Amino acid sequence: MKSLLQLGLVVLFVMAAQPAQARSLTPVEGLEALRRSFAGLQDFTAELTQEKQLSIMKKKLVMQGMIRFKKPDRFYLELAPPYSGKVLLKDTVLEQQLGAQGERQRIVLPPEQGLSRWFATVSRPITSIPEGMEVRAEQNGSLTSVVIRPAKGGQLKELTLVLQDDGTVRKLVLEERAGDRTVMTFRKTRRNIGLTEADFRLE
Amino acid sequence: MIRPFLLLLVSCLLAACAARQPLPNDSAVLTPGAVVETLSSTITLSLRTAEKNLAGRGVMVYRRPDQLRLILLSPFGTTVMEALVSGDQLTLAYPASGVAYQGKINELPAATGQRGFAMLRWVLASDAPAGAPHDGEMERLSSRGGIERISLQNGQVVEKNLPGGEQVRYRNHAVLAGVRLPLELLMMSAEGDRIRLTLEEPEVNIPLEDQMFTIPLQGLRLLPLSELKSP
Repeated sequence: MKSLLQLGLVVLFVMAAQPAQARSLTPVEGLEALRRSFAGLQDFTAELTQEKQLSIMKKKLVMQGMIRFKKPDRFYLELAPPYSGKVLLKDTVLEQQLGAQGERQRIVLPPEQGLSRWFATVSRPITSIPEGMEVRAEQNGSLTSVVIRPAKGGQLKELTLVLQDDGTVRKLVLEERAGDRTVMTFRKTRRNIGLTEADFRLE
Repeated sequence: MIRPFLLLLVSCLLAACAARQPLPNDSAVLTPGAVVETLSSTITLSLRTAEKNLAGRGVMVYRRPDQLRLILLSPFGTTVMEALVSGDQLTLAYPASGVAYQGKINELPAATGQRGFAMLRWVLASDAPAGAPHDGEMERLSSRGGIERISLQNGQVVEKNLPGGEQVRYRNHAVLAGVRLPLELLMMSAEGDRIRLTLEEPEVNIPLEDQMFTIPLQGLRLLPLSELKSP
């Protein structure tokens, strides 16, 4: 869960960054463009719709909410009723609260799994595709999509990012090997708006 | 310890689903003789122990008499854990770790909550005993040995206690599809761990296909349940 959360966070932050080039990209160019775009990002906020199609349920699980991020290591997710919940990550300290009166969960991650450490890693220039990973990047009109297939054996089968030509993230799709699929759509993304520590509290 | 307890909780919840006489706060009509044949619902689970607090959201399906599948999700919607109970068989899958455990429930190592599963039949036996008071308490010999205390309200079991300290409470009853359903269940283990399960938007007695009660194990390393370690 921790690794997936961190992967999701990295993807979200990269998505909220500066515009990707509106052209066909090689795999390395695709990842490098995402990395470069993150370099100009200090913080961002967006509204979120998360749709989960599970093999176990006939109907989609649809959640509405908002996310915030601030460099170097702050992340906040809040979901609206009926699936209300909050997630706060301060580098290595993950706090979660489900429901308005739900129990608060606190997990301290190992230092190597801290958010600042992950972003320090992804800030390095990308010169090659990690072994076992497949990347495709293409442009359709004003939308650019980057499809990442992690090395075989993990939980994620495929991760798809869709961005507008101004760099605003539109969609994130997570496909799990078991067949379940999560689609996150983002609206009203705002970057570098001066979020403060007060924006990253569970209260 | 936590994982089996969660399943036990769900089973507890379902055990209280059989239709009974209306409680005072009933606003819907019960169908005489109707019981929960299937249940599908999103859920929240929270656990409080002396060492930690844990919480998660997920989904579950149940089919009478003894099939139950539960999925716990991460905040980003990916699967953290899956569990399937079918008769006396239990499968636990952890996709992020690439591993799954399968075996009979009684093969669970004690340190991971075997005692909780051993309580399953006791919990499922939630029918009001013959001669039980309409409202009040009674005691009887427990199927697990010793004397159990049962609290009833309007002829329905609302709480059960074992001499060792285990307790199950059913709260926030609602009537769906003519069947009474507790939307919140609170359980306390003998060790003092508190677990709360809440149903969100439950659907009762809708058709559920067989595939909903199968955990996809492709790509996972399958190990005997006896090798499961405490989280």
